[in-house]
Amino acid sequence: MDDQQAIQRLKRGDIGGLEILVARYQARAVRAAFLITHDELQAEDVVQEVFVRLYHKIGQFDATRPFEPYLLRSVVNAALNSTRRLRKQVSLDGDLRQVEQLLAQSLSVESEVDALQLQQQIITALAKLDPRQRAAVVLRYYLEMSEKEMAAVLDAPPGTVKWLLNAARARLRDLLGVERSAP
Amino acid sequence: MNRKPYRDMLDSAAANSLSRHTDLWPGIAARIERKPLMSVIRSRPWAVILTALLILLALSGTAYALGRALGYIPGVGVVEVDVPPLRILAEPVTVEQQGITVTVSKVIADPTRTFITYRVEGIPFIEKQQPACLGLPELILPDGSRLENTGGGDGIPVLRDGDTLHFEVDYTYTPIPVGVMQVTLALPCAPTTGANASSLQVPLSLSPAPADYVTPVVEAPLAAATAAPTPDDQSTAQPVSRSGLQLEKVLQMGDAYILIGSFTDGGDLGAPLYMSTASDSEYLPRIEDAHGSPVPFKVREDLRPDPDWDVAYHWAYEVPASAAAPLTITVEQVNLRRYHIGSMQFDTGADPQNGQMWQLDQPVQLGAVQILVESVTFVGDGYTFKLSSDNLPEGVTPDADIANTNLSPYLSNDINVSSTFDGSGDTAQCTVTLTTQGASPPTGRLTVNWGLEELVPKTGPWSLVWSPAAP
Repeated sequence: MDDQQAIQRLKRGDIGGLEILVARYQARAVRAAFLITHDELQAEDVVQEVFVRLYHKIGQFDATRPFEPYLLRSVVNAALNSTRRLRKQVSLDGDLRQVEQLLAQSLSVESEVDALQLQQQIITALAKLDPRQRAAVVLRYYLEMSEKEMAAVLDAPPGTVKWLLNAARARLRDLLGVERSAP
Repeated sequence: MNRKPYRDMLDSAAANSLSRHTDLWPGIAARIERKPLMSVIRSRPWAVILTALLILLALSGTAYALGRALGYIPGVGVVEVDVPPLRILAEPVTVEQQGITVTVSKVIADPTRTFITYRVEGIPFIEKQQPACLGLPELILPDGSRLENTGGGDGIPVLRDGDTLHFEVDYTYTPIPVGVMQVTLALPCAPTTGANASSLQVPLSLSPAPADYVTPVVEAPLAAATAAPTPDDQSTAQPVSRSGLQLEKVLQMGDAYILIGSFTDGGDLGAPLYMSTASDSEYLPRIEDAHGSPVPFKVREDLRPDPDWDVAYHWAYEVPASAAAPLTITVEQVNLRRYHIGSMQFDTGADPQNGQMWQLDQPVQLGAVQILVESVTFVGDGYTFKLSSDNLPEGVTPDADIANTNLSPYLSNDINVSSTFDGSGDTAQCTVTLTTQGASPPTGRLTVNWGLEELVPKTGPWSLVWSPAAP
């Protein structure tokens, strides 16, 4: 059964449709939420909340739209709201650039151990970001949204989103020898 | 840059940090079937009354926290020490399981948080298999409830030692309830993650901290701090809103004062603020005593509050108590963020061919920076632009975005950006590629919007005058 069929079942009041969607997308949804909340229990709670909300508002959902991007956008928003309620400890100088540098390093990592070390560093660096910046990273690099889509989700002017990502890319290139090679 | 590895890396990082794979469906189904609050009130009024009483109790405890004695612990910061007594790890604990050794060296529990430091050694590294213990640990209370992680993650990163890995890390969690002297650290230490993961349990015993465990800290009153007038004030009768230095807290610790405050954007800077307050920052202030002589100071990053993003940047400076008051703290300059946008157009014709190149040589002004868009090449699913500039900052590549007025303005949603940069010569050159990743790109007369962020110095000065309260 594909997503559209599951949604149609749900629209008819069959909760089994939701069970199918949960089974299909809960893992990625929890990972997306975790990248923002940095707390496993909180991430699970966020995803549960999103699915419950989906159940109650499924009548408003356009079943012709792709479901996964819609779900993950909702998860990111809910995770962001959740972290606003429970403000995390953040470090002033651990910023978006650090995360992007680490992500960029992943392009040239060859050994498994280096990759795993980077993964831990990425999680650590993410933890130090303002939740909104964390959400920006997840939207851009995990959900692969455009800057315009990000601006809509983050309720920020496109210039703000552009600035964040531009500054990050600039810093990233400044540190990466591989990016300085001649075109 | 291809963004796919970014997504994969984030996905792996998240997956490996999750200690389990919980099926959320039972919880979701239960929540959907849960009764609304009003029906709970009607059916179980005693539960509502009990909840209200607990909330009142918690609120009164928060109020009571004001004025408690404080202490400083290096690497941890300021903690509350008196009621209830500060609890610390009774003694370092080492647990070994299947060759993995976990040593918990520090636990500090005050009414505001729980701080823990541990080291993991001997993590087996097996090719193609995830090493253990890299996930976020849990702190479990005797009743089985779990504390919430609130931050941390700093320490010694994962290092390889032969066939094993080791690392050291600290985390902070929500407070351990008063009276609880046992807690368990549960590390997701299994060679696999997900449903088969198991945790390595480290039982920890707490004890009251001895009196000399912390350096006593006294919070001093703030009444004597005033913002010094700036040159702008002399020409403005009544400034409505003003950016500048704000003193928020003063701690007296031994023979020094710790001045803690912020640089607040009052909305009159003209652009978003970019300011770092790290110890190696270019924005460090000048502190002078009553005679105008420089006062030596230290940046206390361990005592600096969390930032209020986009609103204020915080600082914490340690000054000797012997400095002749009043002290004047002055910041001469901050940087503002400005984003410049410029546009250009070119025409691909109706049917561009793969590899087809157009020589453009179009200048685009982005603030003080001028870029020359030398050429653009059709690459099948997008376009590669070749740029040069005499004054583009090293390592910086402008943003690019295509808008086609004949199509949806959201067309560029699906465009990815990649770029390379070569700043080795006097003229910087870079390429920017916009692709649709396989889909048909826009053709015809196209408008390209270029964007460049610039840090613009904003000079003050902004000053703050402070004197310690009279004894």
